[in-house]
Amino acid sequence: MSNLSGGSHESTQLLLAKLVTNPRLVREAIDSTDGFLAGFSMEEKQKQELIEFFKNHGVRFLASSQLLMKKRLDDIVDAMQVGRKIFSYELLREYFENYLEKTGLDEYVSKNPVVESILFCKYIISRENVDEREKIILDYDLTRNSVLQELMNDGRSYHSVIRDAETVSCAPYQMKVVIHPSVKIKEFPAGTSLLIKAIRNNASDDGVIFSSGKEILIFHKNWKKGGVATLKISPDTEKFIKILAYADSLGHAYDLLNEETGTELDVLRSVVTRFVESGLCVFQSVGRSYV
Amino acid sequence: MYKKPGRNPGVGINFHHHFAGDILRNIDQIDFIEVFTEKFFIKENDETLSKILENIPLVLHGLDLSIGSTGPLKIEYLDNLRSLLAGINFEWFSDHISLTHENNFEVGHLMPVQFSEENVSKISIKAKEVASLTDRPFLLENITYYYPIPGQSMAEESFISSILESADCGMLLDVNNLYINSKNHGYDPIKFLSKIPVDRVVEIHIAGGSFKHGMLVDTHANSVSTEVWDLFDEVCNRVPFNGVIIERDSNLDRLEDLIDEVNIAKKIMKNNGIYKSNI
Ligand SMILES: [Fe+2]
Repeated sequence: MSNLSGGSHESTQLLLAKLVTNPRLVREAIDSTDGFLAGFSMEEKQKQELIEFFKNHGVRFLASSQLLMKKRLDDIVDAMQVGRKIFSYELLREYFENYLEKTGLDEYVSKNPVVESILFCKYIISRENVDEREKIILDYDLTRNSVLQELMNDGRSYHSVIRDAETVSCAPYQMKVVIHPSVKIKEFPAGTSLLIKAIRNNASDDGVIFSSGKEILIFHKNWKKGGVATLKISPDTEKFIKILAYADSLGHAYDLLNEETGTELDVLRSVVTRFVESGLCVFQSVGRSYV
Repeated sequence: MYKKPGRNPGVGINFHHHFAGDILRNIDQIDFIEVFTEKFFIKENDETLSKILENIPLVLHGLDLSIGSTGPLKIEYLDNLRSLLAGINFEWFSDHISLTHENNFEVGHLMPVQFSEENVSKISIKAKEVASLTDRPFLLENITYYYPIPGQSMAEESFISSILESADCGMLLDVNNLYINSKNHGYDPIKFLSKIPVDRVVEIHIAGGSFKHGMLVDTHANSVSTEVWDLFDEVCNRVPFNGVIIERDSNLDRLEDLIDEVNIAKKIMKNNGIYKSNI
């Protein structure tokens, strides 16, 4: 018996649209068409057309469904930047088949590979038999991709942004720090950044030792190169970034930081310059211009 | 009223992020570039692409308009499209006669729609709506389909022709899709050409396919076959198009392989006396 929604009336186009995303159900529809269609309320004419369809075009419909599944998996694997380096394609394919099995046809999941990679990573972490190291990597991929997803949904233009680090020192009160709101700061087990680096460089990560401690990673829009960048940061830097994002202007941020940490202006400037150079933030002019 | 662009035919490629630098280095061999419409919905500044666009004309190619869905066009998509078309310099823009979502269910690929009078009227109303967003031509492309949707009342060529005529829009003729469909569904591609309004064809797509699951498949991941080049040769004779794009989406190690195909297309067009110089 299929797990398609029984009882409700669906157009042939919608029924086939749903079905083509799941080869297992296509096979079921071909092998036992009558039983499969019994789960739906439809007029006799529509039913007869579908019976004919599965009889005459079932093989190609199944092939189409398999091609679609492979393309969908390939795109998801492509989006899993680190995970794809530690799991074999065959294993990911097996996980994906299980994932499809658990995803009912009436769950309207996005087929955007970045969005679906997040769901797929979450599924593997919670439902498949993976070890701690694999869980960390999947968590890293899904965090990175959720930032990427927010970036992709951001329809705003940033025409007047200033990307140049030189600007940092001039007119700090007329300068607003822009850190993209998609930014995510998350704790991972200590050693994660080394592990990711080793895997990304195709090097062995045998030497990476996980301690019980934590490390903080920031995932942010890279204003310099585009896409998402990741950086390991200290708790002080985390505080610094949060104040930068909160303050009304760069000058305001300097005041808050100086008040809270007693840090000298020169030091703050050099840190902000480094942030601009690494693509974490840009500036926008604030206040009125009388020129 | 639909007006054909006045440009001389040129040959270009679709944009590849991984090869952006190589595209720029080979820019003198490429007459124009096709970029996915949706790429511009993400307001990311891509410096290399900007440099490419300073040098050669742009055409936009959409994947997710889903003009064949039963319901209306998605408002958010139309808003994005409207603001893009107003803010960018381009020659023409296109999408496919297909659907990528139905009743909010995302299919994840270009699914065929039922060839019927009802869909002709629904699709052409939507095509008019899209075309009205700008004064540049809007084109619809023929897709590869492996199965017919049950209950069809029209042949593919009359379905496509009726849409183009009643929407009064241009066509993107994908020669590889035409070749694959003609093989998989057993018809003569030249006869097909004689039945569609070829005067409306503005752009040509050429791509590679492969043989899988007992049928020819549109992969965009292989080099162009001799059969497709032969059909393109026939197209040069019969169809007054304005530009050719060599489409490749994956399985490309070197941009040179694509440039080689650009040069083959140019050669075939020269032999037919229709390739002038740069457009
Ligand atoms: Fe195409």
